Amino acid sequence: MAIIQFDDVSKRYRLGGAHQSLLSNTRKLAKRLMRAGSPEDDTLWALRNVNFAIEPGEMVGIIGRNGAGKSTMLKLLSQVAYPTTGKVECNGRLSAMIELGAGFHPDLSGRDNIFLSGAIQGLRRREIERLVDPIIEFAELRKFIETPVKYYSSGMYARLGFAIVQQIDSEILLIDEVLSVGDAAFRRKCLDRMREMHDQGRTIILVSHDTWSITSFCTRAIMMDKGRIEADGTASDVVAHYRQFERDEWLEHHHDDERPSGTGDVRIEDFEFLDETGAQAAELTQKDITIRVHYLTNKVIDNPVFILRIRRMDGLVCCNVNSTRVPEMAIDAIAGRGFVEAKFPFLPLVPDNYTVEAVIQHRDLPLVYAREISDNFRIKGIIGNSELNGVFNTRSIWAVSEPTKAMSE
Amino acid sequence: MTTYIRELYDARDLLSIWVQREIKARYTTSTLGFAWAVLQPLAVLAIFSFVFSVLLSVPTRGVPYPLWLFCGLSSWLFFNSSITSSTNALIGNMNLVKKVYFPREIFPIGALMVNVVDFMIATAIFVIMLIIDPTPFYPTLLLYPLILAIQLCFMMGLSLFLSSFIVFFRDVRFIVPLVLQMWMYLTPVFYPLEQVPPNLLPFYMLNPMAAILDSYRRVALFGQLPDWGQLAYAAVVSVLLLVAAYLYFKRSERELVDQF
Repeated sequence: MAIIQFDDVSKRYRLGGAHQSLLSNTRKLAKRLMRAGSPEDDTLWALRNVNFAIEPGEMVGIIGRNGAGKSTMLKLLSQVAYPTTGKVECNGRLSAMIELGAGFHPDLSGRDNIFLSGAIQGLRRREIERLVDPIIEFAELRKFIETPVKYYSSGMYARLGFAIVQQIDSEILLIDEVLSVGDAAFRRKCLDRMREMHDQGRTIILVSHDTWSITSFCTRAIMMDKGRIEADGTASDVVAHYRQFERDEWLEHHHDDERPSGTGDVRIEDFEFLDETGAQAAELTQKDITIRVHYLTNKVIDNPVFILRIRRMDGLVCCNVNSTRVPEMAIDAIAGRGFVEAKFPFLPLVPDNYTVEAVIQHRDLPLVYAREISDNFRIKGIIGNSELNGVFNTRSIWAVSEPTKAMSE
Repeated sequence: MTTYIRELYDARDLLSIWVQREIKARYTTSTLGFAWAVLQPLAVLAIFSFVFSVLLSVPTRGVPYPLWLFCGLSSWLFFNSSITSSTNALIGNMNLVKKVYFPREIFPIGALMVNVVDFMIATAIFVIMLIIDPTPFYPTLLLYPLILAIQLCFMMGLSLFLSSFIVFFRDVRFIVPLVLQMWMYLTPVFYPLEQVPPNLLPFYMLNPMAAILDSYRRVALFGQLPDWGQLAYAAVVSVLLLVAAYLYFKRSERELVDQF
């Protein structure tokens, strides 16, 4: 028997629900009476006819862009919301790690928050007392456990949050987007622990728009788009589909304000990200990064220049490099199969996920031969670390004038 | 209804941890901490005593005005702050409501219980005042818990209703403080029930808090029994409200999340 079953599930939201007031309701009612129009126009289907079943012991990733229906699905899974039509069945105790430290109180210590968070997940006080030590141990926060959590870094928050959830003896574990926070070592520890839990026969559902954690962890993936299931299959197939889908969408959206996506004479076939040792990696430190772009032409391409744009996930161009004025790149033509690479001795981007957009165009003419966007790569470090926000970080040399002098004058 | 109560009972540990959290967070973040629970009612007591005994000299049948006032005032402050905080208990914790399921009444009930602590401190102050004052401890004081129970029912009912209703109608946020203020003047907090004109009394007593406050004073300060008719009315209203509000709360619980 399936442990989780979505049976033709749809979920409708009334738009503007967050700003309901007596006035707006009366106005809406009046409008409805006047026009006698359908009440449908201010509603939104967040999920539409969703069908799937998850068997006990599966590790399933759910991916999709923002607004695809992932969070609605989470809410239905954790019984926080109810479907408008259809049936959600959940045959087992479920614990959820959703949002960093949801339910943590910033003014209370880590220990107090373990109790709170545990109780919210349905644990008894006695059970929590038994689990406190293993939780602190796992989170590696022994030193800070009496410190109010408002002084924690986001990585520490995540560690504590995961440490609590991993101790709960539930059949189903829901994990939402949390593994993107935290340092690499702890992330690995979480993944190891999740595999262990999986080996114990527990069902794990991971919701993310980070394809990296889905492929490295799940066996099956479900891709959502516009409230429907767009793909359901092995993790690698679905992720590949998702990437293609994202690229198509992206290109479509950036069509108008930028130049066309290429003449078709050159195809960018692959991207490679190499770390300081020259090995391919999806996760890179800021030092000695090489981005290699493989191309294939079907005719001789004259006077090419290469452009690499490193984009953050929201599309912001963080770095734009251009081969135009690079003496070594003053080549007359390219033909056949080959690659071009750019090495960045130091790329001080803040830890996050990025993509690279590669463009091959004519040196002088407004002629774009090819344009392609890579898969994600990641700059190692604690993502979401508030001390490292902005686009890049760099060494800064500080000084202060004699700080007390101004007062005494 | 019984399944609701069983579910709530199963979550009792969460309720107690939640209340502890709220109390801790409330008092550890201020410098004076728990002293506020004492200072606040005393300050209100002082200013009201000045206005209503020195400036307006409200008759209190021989009992010192501050003692007389505090007997009702402490209960009113309890009522007022409980309703205020429990009304916002759900919308203030929406990030949790949206994420994890557990019985949602934990929020308003928890908010109410946090205020119980303040009320207990206020009650302790009242007992100290009773000891200092020559007013004896009347045996009718034994009825005090009964009246308190009625007040708790009434408050719980209002809390459950308002905390859920506000999710659907945000205007409640502005209405509640306003109504509470008017309500205070229509409840015998500063003045005795005897000052209400007899022809208005039937309407005046529709307010259950009127009977509740009057009963407190009768049993604690004058050694009298409550007016049973009025108190019974308050009790019936309170219990009916509680049951109706709880059913309403549980029914709207399913739609809560969709409002955000």
